[in-house]
Amino acid sequence: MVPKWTDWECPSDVGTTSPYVAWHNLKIQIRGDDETAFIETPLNKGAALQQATPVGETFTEVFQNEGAPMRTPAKNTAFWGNLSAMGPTADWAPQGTAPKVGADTVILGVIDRGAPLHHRRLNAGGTDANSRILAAWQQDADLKEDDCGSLVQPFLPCGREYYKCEIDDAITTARQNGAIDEHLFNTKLGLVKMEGPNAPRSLARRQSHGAAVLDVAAGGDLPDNVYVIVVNMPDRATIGASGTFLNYYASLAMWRIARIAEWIWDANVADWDGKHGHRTCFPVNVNLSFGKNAGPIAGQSFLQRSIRAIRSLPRWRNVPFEVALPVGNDNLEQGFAEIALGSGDPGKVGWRVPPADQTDNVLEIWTEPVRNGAQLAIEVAPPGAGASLVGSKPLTSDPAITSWRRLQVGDAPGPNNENVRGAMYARAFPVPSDPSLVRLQITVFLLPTLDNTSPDKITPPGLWEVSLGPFSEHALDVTLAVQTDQSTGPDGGTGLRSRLVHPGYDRHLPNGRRRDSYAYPFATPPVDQDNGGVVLRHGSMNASSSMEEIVAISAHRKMDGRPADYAATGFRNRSDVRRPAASLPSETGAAHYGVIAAGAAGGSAIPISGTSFACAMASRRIIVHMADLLKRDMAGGHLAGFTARDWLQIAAAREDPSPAPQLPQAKVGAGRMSFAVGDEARWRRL
Amino acid sequence: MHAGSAPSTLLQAALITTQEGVRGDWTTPGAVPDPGVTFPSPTSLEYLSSSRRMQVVRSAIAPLFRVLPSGPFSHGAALLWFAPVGPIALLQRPSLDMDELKEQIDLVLGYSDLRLDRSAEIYAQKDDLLSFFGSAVRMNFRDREDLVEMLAITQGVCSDIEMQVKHQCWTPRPIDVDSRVLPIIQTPDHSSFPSGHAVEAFAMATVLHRYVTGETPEQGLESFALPFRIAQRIAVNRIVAGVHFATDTVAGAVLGIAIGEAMIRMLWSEGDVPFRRYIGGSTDDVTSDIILKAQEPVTPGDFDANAGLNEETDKYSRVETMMRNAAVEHAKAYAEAIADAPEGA
Repeated sequence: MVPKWTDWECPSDVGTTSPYVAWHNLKIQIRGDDETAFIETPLNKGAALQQATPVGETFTEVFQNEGAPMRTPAKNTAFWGNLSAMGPTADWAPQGTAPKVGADTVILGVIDRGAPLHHRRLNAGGTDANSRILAAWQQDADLKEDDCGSLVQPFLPCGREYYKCEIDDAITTARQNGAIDEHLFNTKLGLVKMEGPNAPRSLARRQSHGAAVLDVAAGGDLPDNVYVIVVNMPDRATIGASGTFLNYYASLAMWRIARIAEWIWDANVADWDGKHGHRTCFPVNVNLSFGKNAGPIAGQSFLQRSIRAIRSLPRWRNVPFEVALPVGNDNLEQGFAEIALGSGDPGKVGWRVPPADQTDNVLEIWTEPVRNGAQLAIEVAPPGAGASLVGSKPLTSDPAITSWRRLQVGDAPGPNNENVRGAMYARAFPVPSDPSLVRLQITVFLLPTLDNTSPDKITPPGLWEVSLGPFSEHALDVTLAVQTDQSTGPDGGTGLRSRLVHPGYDRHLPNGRRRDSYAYPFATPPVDQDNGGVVLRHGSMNASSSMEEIVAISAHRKMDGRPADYAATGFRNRSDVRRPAASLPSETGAAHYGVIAAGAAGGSAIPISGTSFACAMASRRIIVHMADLLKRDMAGGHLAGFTARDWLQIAAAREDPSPAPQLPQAKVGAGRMSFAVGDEARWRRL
Repeated sequence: MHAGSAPSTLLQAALITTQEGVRGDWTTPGAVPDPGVTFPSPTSLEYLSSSRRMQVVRSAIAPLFRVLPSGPFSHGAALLWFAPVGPIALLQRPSLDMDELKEQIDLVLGYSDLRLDRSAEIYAQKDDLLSFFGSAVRMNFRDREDLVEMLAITQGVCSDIEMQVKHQCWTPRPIDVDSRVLPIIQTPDHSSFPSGHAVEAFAMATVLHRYVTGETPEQGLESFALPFRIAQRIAVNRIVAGVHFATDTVAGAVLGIAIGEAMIRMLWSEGDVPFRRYIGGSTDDVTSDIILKAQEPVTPGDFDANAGLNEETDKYSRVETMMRNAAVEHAKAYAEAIADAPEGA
């Protein structure tokens, strides 16, 4: 039976401000899942997005109304229960002795999944069992209890955390009789758990994203004042196939890195005899080689809110807290479209939903600023069904969901929404510079096209037709982005990606090669090949990296500097936060796939490809530069006003091997940087 | 194989006509022996091809092992008896209660996440374990031919023993307990407990480690020496494939190390073979410390027949009885053989 959309409804049934959380909760109803089997609810109770972040917001204030699924054995229920009661000054610093470090220390934060702790390449100064990892938080590890059943780390919201001395001891103990049983080491520390669904298991495999990122960013030979704080995030099944809770866990990790840095600073400052000048903490650069394809491109995400809040804390106002993200690898995945609406015909684009897809398909639609109270007509017609445009209810300045529609089979949704197969949610965000304007967001969710446990809870595969407008008030640009769509299984076989389709989009060149955003003819300027109209490569840059608080890193081929065709493209004519800051290598040569990085097992190496690793190289460059600045002036004079964005743009422009003709900034930012300015040789040394 | 080519009916016919054509009148006196022929010493096996030599040695060693069931017509436990020493290993299968077996499925499903990584290994190891040990230590039929043969004989002896033990300790395979396991290789027809691959891999590791370092298997496991890392990987791959539970693997490791130590005694005419036992049941994982702990040897004198056994306690008592009776029978047979022996023997 072909499902049909209902009319727009009032929001009272939704009960949350995040469409993703609303859908998450609705799906539990639709499928009749036991919501306590794997996750714990409630999830999001308050404002997920805020236009303006109050200066000096604390961890408690940011998180007390937020939530996310957590594996029950990993969740510290008491912590979350007490968070509000703890008040804005709630302290979640570790209890115990902080590692000893010098005043010239710089800290690289690595937020990833499956990052190892025992690789020899992470030893400071090449000394065995002298890890440069100051702390490592496994967000998804089972909570640690003492012999009496009391929590050993009650200050943690979830998982387990280890500190340098514990890591060094664990490595020493594991190696004392000879070779290390890595599986035993990893399972003891909660880095790997073979029992149970959706448990951390990356390090039991041959390659792990976190191992490769950590190695490129912090493996081998580094200046002796560089230290690392690692946060391993939960499995994809917990984060969500659409990356629903990525920003939540990444934000928790950001706050944790800041708090650990403060804790170590406070424990050591008395020994430094004033050598730290007026600095109030260690400079930090965080590498987050993740991202979501769709989202609020102009910022306003929870991750952005967290970074802003951390930077506005008195401790961090004058100390760098930098964050680097990759632009993403979805340049050629047909996941982005831009429609110019007018008063004439509606704008249309096809949305091809694949068969046998076991994950949701999600489409985010954003408008440029419109009048507060404006309405936008929209229809997402199932394959074979005609579209009848239905205007949204007036959307006014309110980041909460103001209206929503259900996609249902039959005439009624059913008492527990069991007849619902999809939903769309609408809300509006005020434009800070003009209170009379808002940006509209409509997010469309479809159930998978294959569900082995609930075979009737599916949507039809095929070409869905998205119709928007017309919009009579003025010309209006609307963007559509297919949300991140990953398999929750280990090998990516269950989650297929939907695509936006339009007759003007050519996937290939006449010679059969994949058509990149640009052609790069010899000795002449690049040629824009992304001119098909609606479905675009420009703008495919992942939404998480499109904010001023972070630097977005693109990727190119080391051998000849050719931009990687999969590296997502920034916007053509937008601000610099909507295009990459710089590009670093993610491929070695035309016949040499990827770059070499550590495999999951200590001492193993793998070739691995993607902007994640270019980003890790950029993070390494940034932290080495910060370490150098601080070594030259421990009081931090050289770091005053330092931003990774400014430095990358200067360094990239200087290092780009062929400044004329300039490559498009939408593809490589300020230019292509090398990994080889002293660093690659050092990186390879151990 | 003939001197020049493989056997064939054509060659056979050609050799017949050739013989007729060249031999002459064989009734003529004066047969001409091959002047270069030598007669092997009774202690030498060099005159045999490698495969034949291994066959001879394996068939000579095999009768020294006996698998004694806990009861004549019942499944449950099996004792491995080794003639020069006595009992060397006892395995008792896990409970057959389906709910208890399901507790072990969780780990099997968890390990199935590693299938894409391990697929090539799993497929190759269906028939070949020796190549994986050969990748750790240089050995082939020109270098260390004796080591290759020792390991191959060890594996052959194991396969005879493990099938008997499996029969006596029959348990269902993971696919029988939960169809969602969906194994990536065909589930064999024999028992899940113990894992035959684990038996063979750990026996070979024990012999190889002793050959290379002179160390005991406990020392090898404590230092997580390379042969034991390979053995563990081979054994775990069977869980990844979906044809074994973790407890099968630990049981196989215990039995394999016991057989490996017996083989060492045969190889070097020395060394103790401590008595080991393992009672099947849920295990947290398959790590070196779990296997090491399962290896803790007990001497028959220290062994409490009732310790840790549940509903099948009385069966082990019968095993002890059987062992005593068997020993009496062996002693009788020995006395009769001596009495019947010709003078001077």
